[in-house]
Amino acid sequence: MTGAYSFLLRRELRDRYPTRLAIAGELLGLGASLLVYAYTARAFAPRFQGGDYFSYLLIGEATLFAPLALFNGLARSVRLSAQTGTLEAMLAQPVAPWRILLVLGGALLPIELARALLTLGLGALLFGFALAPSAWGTLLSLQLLALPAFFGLGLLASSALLRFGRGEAMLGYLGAAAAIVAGAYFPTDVLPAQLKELAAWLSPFSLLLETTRAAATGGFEPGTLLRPGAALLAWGVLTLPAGLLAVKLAFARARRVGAPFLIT
Amino acid sequence: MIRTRALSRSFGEKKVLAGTTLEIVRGERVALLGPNGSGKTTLLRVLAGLLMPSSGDAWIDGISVAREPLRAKARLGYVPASESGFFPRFTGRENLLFFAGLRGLPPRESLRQLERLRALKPLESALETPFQFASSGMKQALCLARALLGDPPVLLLDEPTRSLDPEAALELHAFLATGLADKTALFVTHSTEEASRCATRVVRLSDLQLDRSQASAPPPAFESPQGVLA
Repeated sequence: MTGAYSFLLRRELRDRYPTRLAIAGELLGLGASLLVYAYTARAFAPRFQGGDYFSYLLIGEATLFAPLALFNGLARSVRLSAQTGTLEAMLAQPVAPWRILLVLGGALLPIELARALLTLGLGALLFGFALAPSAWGTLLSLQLLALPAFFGLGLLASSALLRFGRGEAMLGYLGAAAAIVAGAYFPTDVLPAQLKELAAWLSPFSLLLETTRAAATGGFEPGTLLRPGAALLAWGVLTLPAGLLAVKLAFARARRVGAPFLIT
Repeated sequence: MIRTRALSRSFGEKKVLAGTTLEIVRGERVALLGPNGSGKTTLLRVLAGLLMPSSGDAWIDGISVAREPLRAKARLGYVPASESGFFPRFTGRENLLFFAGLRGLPPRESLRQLERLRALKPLESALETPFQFASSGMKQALCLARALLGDPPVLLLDEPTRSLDPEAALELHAFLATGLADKTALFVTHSTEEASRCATRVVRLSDLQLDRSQASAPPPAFESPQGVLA
């Protein structure tokens, strides 16, 4: 499967960045986002209680690249594969459907992690975002610890898409809402009480954001990573098997019903 | 090698396969004829493990496709009715190496098999052409090459010469008849000429339905397909 994985990673790169202009466009978009964050932070800094608002925004954005790619991007990959007929061609091979989805999802990760690193790096280079050298490793560790949880959520989302044949836009809205409510762009303290509760309920998102911010701002002893790390893993223990089961059921249903994968 | 027993498949109210019973022994190349909508493709998709039978079962090399689809798939290669199912920005070679990897072939073995498959003429140019720019003939060759990866003993081919020009079709006929001599194959076709050229036996799907035994005597035109090849 290693060869298949590296092929899908190259496919993802080639689809996203078919030309140098596309890479330049991505960099330009990233720079524009950072500029907006920098000036937003400058405008609202005096009223922000949580320290440096630019760093707050930057970490919020970068932290959720990979999780949201797994939540929405995997479903998108499944939809594209279904539309081009490659999903059925892969299913005709002697390989379990869940392994196909794991490889499809896994192909998104290096790109998203690189985007996250680039965002933080550009933030540091252009706008003075400061991160202790030791914190980079902690941030990466947190991303890795969160992978099973978000893979599980991605598998659940993809199986819903396979089951109902639609809903990619809805998954996009759900992902965006989860990011906002979990505190990617502003502290959840300002939310109404019910939404604050929802933020706590959306724990893998908010847990990852809170822990990453704490690690990045230095208010975090290395030993205390154990507890949130374990909590993130626990989410993975919950969502990953559920996602794998949902995928298995979705493909079994497709095989039973006999409907082609028409995902709109 | 390929066996179905009382195999039925419905789509909602529509019964497409009704108690299909078929047995193909090792080394046979069977052409399956039938009008459009008679269930030929459905039968192949069930055998390929992509569809569950509504009732009955099918076996590839003694392995149930309904209960052990992965093990059954490991023993067969499937050429679908459509030429899609490849990654458009990648060359034929890259696509085939991907599917070889998915099949669990080590890279070196995959390359060795690709070299061997060059005997399939249109594949030569398809290997270096991005799939999006490949001709229908190249795409068809890629579909066949993909099915042959891993050297499976059983082949299921859904109209393998559908989009080929007469010359390319003849080449493929020769390949099917001689290059696949060690394979057991079931192929769908609308062409009686193709059936007589490539098959060792011809069956009509209507003769397999409702638990009637499979067409024991081929129509006169197909009595000695080997003779045609000779």
